[in-house]
Amino acid sequence: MNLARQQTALLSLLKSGHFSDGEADPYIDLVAGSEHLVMLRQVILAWRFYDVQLHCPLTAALLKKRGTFEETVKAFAATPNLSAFPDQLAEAFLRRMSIQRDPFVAAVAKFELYMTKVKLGDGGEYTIDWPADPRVILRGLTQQTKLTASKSYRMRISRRYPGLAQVTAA
Amino acid sequence: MAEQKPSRHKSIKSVALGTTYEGRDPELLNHILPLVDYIEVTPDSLAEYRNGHAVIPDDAIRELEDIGSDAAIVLHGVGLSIGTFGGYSEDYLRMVDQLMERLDVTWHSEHLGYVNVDGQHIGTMLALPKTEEMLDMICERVGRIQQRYQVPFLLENIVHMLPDFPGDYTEAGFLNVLASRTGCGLILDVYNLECDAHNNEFCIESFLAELDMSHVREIHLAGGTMRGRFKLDVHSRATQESTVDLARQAAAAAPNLEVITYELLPEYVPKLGYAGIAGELTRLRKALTN
Repeated sequence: MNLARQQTALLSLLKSGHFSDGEADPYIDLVAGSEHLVMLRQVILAWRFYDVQLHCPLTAALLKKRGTFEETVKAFAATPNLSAFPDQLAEAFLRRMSIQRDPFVAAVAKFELYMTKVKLGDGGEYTIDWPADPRVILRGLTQQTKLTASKSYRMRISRRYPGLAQVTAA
Repeated sequence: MAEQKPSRHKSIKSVALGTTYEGRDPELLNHILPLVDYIEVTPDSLAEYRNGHAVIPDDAIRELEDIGSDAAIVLHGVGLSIGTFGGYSEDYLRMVDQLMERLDVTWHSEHLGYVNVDGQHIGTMLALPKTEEMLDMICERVGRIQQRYQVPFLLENIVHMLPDFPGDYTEAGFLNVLASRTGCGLILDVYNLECDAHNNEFCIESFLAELDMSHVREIHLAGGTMRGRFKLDVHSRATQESTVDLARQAAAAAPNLEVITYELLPEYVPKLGYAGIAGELTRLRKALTN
């Protein structure tokens, strides 16, 4: 078997559970039907869960509160070109979450994304529009309280603000 | 109270003890340094991603420089991907370049597997098919790596997480030819052997009988977990007695063995705790190097 094709096929099996290029291949069929592949995909996903929880704790907490954490990370893990470096992986995840329709998820993901950038020395200023008071939302992530939209707030994140952030009612 | 190391590189067979240190945990370093002779550093774990490339920050290198004569340093990477058909990772070797420039590295090593395909990280590490084509490719790459650095290069047997592709060599046969053709040393990971035995009915006894143990310079051991019926190579726990026994058996047969390394992922340091890790190292020194 051609080595390039074999490795490409295994990559596809790990990412999606499927591979087909129109050619029959007993080895790829063996792997595709193996319990090894099922287990290995579960292990890879478990590490993605771990990485996201560790490096994006607020967004992860909100997704768990929404009951969508696992399906969201699973969909993310299936995307191509994910970095092996956890900080890069986290940034890619937060970028994806920051364009979610759910305004709470989008705002919290942007908060984690921009805060990380600024803490690492980024000199820019970033703006986040929140569907409610961000202090209440962020406190509520670890509590049983329901998050509801109220008055809009605007947050600016920059090194020039004490605590790196300034919040104003919009 | 943890037992202090007697002196560097000393034991009944002059076998030293090493362990993993992934940087930025000075308290862990304070706990392990008095107990080991070697520190195993994974370049990938120290790195940060800047402008599209992995770079090891200066503070991380300085911390390793400070180890000085308290322990020898060996590099043990995960990102080289020596078996990727499209070529190994130059990004990884640039990290090794950085460390080699600043540190007195005893040797560097990698896994006999691959983590990248078509420029993508596969999310795990896969074993190589033991074919002539693969052997030729790996030998040529090992030669290039050996020319690049002035210290020995070692390769490690990894777990077989997927069914094996039918090859031209046995596992041990492949390692024997690779090591004799290139002169590279071997790391024998005995916990990986146990995982393969448990998951794939791999025969450790036949493997050890066939392997030319004179190439083995380092032995790795670790403790992991079960997931369903599978034993996982996750480096998350203290070692089991069976793993220590196997390491002892392998060490007795390896005339050029220099160090036995206990590996633990940084993610699991809080679970074992500093005192727990120190206790494990003390236990291993007693069991393996005395």
